[in-house]
Amino acid sequence: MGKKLFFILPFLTTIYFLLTTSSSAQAVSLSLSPTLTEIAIKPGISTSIKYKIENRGDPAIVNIQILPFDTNQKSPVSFSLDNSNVKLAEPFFLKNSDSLEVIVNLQVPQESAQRDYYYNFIIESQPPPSQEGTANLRAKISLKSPLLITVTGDGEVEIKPKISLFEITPKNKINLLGFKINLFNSFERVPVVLVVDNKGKNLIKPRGQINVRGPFWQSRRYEIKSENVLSESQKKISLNLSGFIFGYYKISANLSFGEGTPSIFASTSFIVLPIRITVFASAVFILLIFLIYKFKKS
Amino acid sequence: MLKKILLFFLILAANHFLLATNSYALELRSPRFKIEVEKLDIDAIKNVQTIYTIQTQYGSWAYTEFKSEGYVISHEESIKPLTFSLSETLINFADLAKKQIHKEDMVLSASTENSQKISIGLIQEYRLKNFSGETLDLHYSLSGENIFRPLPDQNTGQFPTIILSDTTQGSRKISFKLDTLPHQPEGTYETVVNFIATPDY
Repeated sequence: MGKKLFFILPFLTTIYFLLTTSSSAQAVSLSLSPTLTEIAIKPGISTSIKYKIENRGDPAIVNIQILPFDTNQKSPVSFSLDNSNVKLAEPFFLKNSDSLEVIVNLQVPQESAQRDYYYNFIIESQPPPSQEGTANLRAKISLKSPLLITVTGDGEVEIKPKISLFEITPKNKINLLGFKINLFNSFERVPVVLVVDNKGKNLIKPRGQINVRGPFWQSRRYEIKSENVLSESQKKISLNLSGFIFGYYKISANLSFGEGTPSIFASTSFIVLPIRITVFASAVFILLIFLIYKFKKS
Repeated sequence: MLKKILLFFLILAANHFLLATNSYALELRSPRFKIEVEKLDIDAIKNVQTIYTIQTQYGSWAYTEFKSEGYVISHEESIKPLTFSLSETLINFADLAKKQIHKEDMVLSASTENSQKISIGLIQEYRLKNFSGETLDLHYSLSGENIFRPLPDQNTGQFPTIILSDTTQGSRKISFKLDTLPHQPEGTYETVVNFIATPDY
């Protein structure tokens, strides 16, 4: 019996080490390029766009979709894939370290209204199956690449921008005889919010600067990088300015929208005072006076 | 009296230098130009509309290409990839009847090779449920936070919650917590949580 056991134990151990694999939770890692595509196209024309998908994690089942930003809106643009082995909304297997070039054909019907249409090219991993008898959180990842299409017959676009808000949001806002004062402590961060409205039917690309002018001919400039503001929508641009010590500062935003377009402006102001240092110095001063008085009295 | 005048002068001069800013009037005036108009009529309605083309947006090369091909594609620097990873895709909360609090972690990371910023959102497609439709509450917490929040539910029309924003590179540990009742019936419960990476446009 003892001999039998001695034989069975190494046999089972060998089988265990040879035939089992370590089970670790599957990681998923996907990459997608390009991350943004902008197309200006005439009605009745078709074209194709290349996307590259790469699997940088464990083998995965992936799905490709192209959906409009507003899923309730009817889309006139039609999409199809030029790949023989991959179709839209049909899952396919992607080995680890494998990459795939996807060619998307897009067709704009002749009767399409001349305006902008916005879509997302989406790759999505499939969640793993659940395990029996436990509570399962099955995770999946989706990577989006916006596809912004401007349908225009002769290349004309509508540029109708407006600065709807240019404001500083301080912790201390003082209302003095109807004048609103934005008050900051020295070296405190100054948060600036700029909201650009696009009233037109095509996207716009605001770019420009925020200029800050202070006492003693101080002048600073912060660049606003070109970003898209989609048609009939608005975009918030936030900046955190710092390094102001003392005084009254005037801040102005100057935006342009490309070659030959008029610039638009907005301005506001803020005051920086060494509030904390002043309070501390005053407290020290009062304490000193009190101590001197006490000392003299005694 | 002289002392008072001197003191006031110093205070006023200090105020002037510290609180006054130089007005360059960049937008409206320039010492180099003088604009002469016949008659200023600010109430007049401008009938001539300026026409802009895609040349304004993308440059003259784009307009030339559009005229010859019928379309123009612009990628600018977005040709470089966006990578999004999740440390694990399946979390199991076992022994539902024995424990009342269950906690598990995962790490997500995202990066772009260009200056385009990205944001990561999360949403559960439906609540954690078993085959007979009984549901359990799943909460999440991000690293550095002390509170657990309920996950937004796509099934009830909620939108994804942004958990990482305005970044070109970042990773974040996310903890999931499941609260069960004492003697919670064992069984298979499941939900799908979608992590969505969207680049800024």
